Amino acid sequence: MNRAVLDVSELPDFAFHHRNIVWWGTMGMIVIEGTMFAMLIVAYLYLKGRSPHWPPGHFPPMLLWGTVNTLILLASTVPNHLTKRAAEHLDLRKVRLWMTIALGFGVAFNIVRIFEFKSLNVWFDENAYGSVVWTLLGFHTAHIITDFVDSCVLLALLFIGPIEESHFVDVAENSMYWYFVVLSWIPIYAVIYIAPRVS
Amino acid sequence: MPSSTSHHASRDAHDRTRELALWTGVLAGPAVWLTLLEVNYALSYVACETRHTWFLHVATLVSVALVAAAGLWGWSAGRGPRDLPEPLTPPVSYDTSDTRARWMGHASIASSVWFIIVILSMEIPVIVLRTCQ
Amino acid sequence: MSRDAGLDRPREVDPASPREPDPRLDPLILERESRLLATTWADPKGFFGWFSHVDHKSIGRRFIATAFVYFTFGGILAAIMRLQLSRPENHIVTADLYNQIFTMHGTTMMFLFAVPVMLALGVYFVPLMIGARAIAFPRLVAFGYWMFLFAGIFLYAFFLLNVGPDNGWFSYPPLAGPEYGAGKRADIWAQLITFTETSGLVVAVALITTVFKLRAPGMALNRIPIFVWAMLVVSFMTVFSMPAVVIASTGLILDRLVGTHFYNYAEGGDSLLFQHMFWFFGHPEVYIIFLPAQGMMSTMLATFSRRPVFGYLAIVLSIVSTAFIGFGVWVHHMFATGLPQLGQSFFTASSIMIVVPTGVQFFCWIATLWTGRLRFPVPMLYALSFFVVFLVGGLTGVMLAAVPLDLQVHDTFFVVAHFHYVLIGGSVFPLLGAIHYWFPKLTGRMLSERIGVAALALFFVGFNLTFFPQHILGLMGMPRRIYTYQPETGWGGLNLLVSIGAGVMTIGLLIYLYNIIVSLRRGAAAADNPWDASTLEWATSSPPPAYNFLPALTVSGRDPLWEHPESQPVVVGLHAEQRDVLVTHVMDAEPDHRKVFPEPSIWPFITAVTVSVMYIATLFTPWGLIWGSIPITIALIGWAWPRGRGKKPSELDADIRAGRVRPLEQVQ
Repeated sequence: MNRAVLDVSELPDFAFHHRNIVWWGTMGMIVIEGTMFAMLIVAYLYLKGRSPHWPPGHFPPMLLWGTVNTLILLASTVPNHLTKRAAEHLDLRKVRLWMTIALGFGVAFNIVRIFEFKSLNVWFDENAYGSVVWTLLGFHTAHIITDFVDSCVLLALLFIGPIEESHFVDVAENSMYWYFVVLSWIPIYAVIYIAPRVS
Repeated sequence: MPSSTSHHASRDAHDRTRELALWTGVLAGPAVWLTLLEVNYALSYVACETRHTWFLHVATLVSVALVAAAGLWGWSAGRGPRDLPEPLTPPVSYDTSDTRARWMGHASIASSVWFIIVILSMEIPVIVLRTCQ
Repeated sequence: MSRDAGLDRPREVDPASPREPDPRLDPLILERESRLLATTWADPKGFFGWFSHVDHKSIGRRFIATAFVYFTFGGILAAIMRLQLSRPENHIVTADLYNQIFTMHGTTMMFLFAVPVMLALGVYFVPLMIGARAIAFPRLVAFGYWMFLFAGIFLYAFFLLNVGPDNGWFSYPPLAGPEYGAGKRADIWAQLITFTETSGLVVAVALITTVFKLRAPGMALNRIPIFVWAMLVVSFMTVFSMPAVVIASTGLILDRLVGTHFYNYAEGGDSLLFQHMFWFFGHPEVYIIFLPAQGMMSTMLATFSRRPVFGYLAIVLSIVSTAFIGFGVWVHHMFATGLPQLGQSFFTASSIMIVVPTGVQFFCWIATLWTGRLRFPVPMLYALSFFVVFLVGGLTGVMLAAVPLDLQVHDTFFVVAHFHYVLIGGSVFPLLGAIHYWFPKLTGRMLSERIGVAALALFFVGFNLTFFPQHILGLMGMPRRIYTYQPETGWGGLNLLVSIGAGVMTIGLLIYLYNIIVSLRRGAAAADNPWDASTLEWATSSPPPAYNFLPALTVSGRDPLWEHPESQPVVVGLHAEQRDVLVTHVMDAEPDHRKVFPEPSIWPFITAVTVSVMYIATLFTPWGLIWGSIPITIALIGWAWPRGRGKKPSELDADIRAGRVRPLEQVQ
């Protein structure tokens, strides 16, 4: 057969960023979860718009723990960024180091989240305001817990093995998801803590 | 962000801009229209309370302008430069890429024109109806 | 402008110069490679092996079959309804059972049949149509199938225990809320949503990734088959719309089970919030059902007109436009709720404008037929039936878009007639035609033409007899979802006609099923490309081997099999002893890198079991969420933990530091 051939045998067997399919899968998850957060925020604003007093008969949530946690979350982006960079350079030791530090931040913000729940100044079953605030905070909490757990598992893998170069891509994409969990918190913080103090 | 130096990204920044322009040209129409719909719906409550509609008209004008600009940007990117420095990886020839870009350029114009019409269709009730039931 | 070192770029022999035949394309070499590939890509055999399949064709086939089993259940429920309504004051079922039946019928058809069957056909055919060896994230797709199977088992188990949902397929509070919805019925509905959305979302993400990253080299965006475009667009719609129904149904479960007040007016909630969130999903949902059928129409009409479909750009843009506009019409389901007039009018405008892109497709298809050399096998007859049936449904849709008319016929059989015309006309007719069209590729056999024509004729006549009179019944004032009616209403005659029509429709569908059963055993053997079609799924055997294509293909046009296949380059250099898949770039499908795909695995099945257990447990106690997460975590670790390939971390690190892996510039 005199067909021309396209020889792909020299192509690499992994690649970073949007070149690799794991990025697309992670992005898909980010878009889905982000849309869920957006829906909850819209529900909050809708209920607020229907209500003459907001929060109805309550003090707004205490600013302290939410703001502290926001700072911890934002600070965690530093070791997260360094993890991603180390992964892109296939530097196993640095990846292990920075991931461990990031997970330390993760422990902190999971613990502070408990104090946030306790200082919301409303229970979930008191009224619609309480329901939507608890659900919004609860959804985000589910994300910080699951991101923490899956990052622990990934870090464990990097110590125990067996691993290949493509696992560095997984680390980079995990970092991207961590960014999402942190950055999605910002509008949620604004809605839970600042919106009830405005207008 | 580490620089991606794969052969794909070794084309200059102009190519990245070109891709962005093409996607924007095609998708800006529907995205702006959908945003306008949500904004209009929310603002219709404000229009009823304040008995004003000028902000609804402004929203329409801004939307039309954005979509027109995006469509033109996409279309001009579709016509694109004719001097890409190196052949792409066969069987993706320069022709393949250029034809695809021109196709997206046409899609930009068609999408933008159509969604300007859709945006204007939403202006009709603002003109015809009173602000409150 | 620096040129990269050539290491990471595929080499191509200049097609213009005369050359020696490439030794890798020697028939004996290819024969050996095909045997090796068949072993590499094989799914495990046997009963227990079946639970760990990851081949998209295996998953696709069972996905399609399961969806049609649920279609049958939904049809039986419809038959019971039509028996009950055939005469005034009938006593075949009680009011309470009737409520469950119409709810189960709608829920089954919308959540367990219509969307899943489209996704299932995408799972099977998208990788083939783009020339890929696999679907992206095969284990995730398998997980999506198991969640879908368990969804139906979950729903019907509770229905058979008399705990089936009974508030309609969209289950509005407050009727479905804690005050009026006693028992677990509405909870079953809400959790079914969670099951099916989980399934749909993972398949959607897999399809998007597949279409963007796994296309054959040369398949630039403007060369993607229209059915693949439709599946890509529908996957995006899924990703953006399903979260809304997840939140809506979660709010309902929380209100019912733990005492939240999302939809409780007395405590600041609003039941209209549920309606907004549900229909923000619900309307795109019907386009998720309709757009793949439009893709099937373009596919079949092109093949049987023996020409590429007219107006490729217009059709692709129409699909994209319909998808976007579909997100902006949802309030038309709420015209009777007392929303402000100006606000509603925006949605009248959008609901009218959404017709235009579909109209554009209609004219493109007519132009294709007009300038084609037509053939009329059964799939073509289904495609032609679509024109008539969907048109009626679309016209009544434009009527319903006008608020004054909608207010007159809201919640009557007029609406029932409308959506059955668009759903069955718009989706089921093309679907049945597409099954007929793709049956040779799926099974290696041809369906019988004669039996097929008989089935279609009865289905077409029966369908119109069933649903056309419902327009009139609606205009006469017959409400929907009533279990019986008085003889004085005068609706008895038309209802009897409708029920007879339903019987004829059922016989038509049974004959269709008979065709499938008989042809699976005795149908004529199918060649690679029995219809002489142009897209890549026909470039391999019927059914395809586990590895789909050998050699792997490249394309230079939209209709590869009609455009000089002999001189088109083929791909060599993919390993045959591991599951190598070529990953390409988004815009023009230039080859980028190779990825090794996962082996068959039992973990998707196990994970689906643990997730289902958690979903069911949370219906009875909120602690189910916490305790149920533990087995899920274990299952996911089992899924993700690598086996077989890879090195000890210290070894890999040493290799990297010694420079024994890729230069970073090639992979970043």
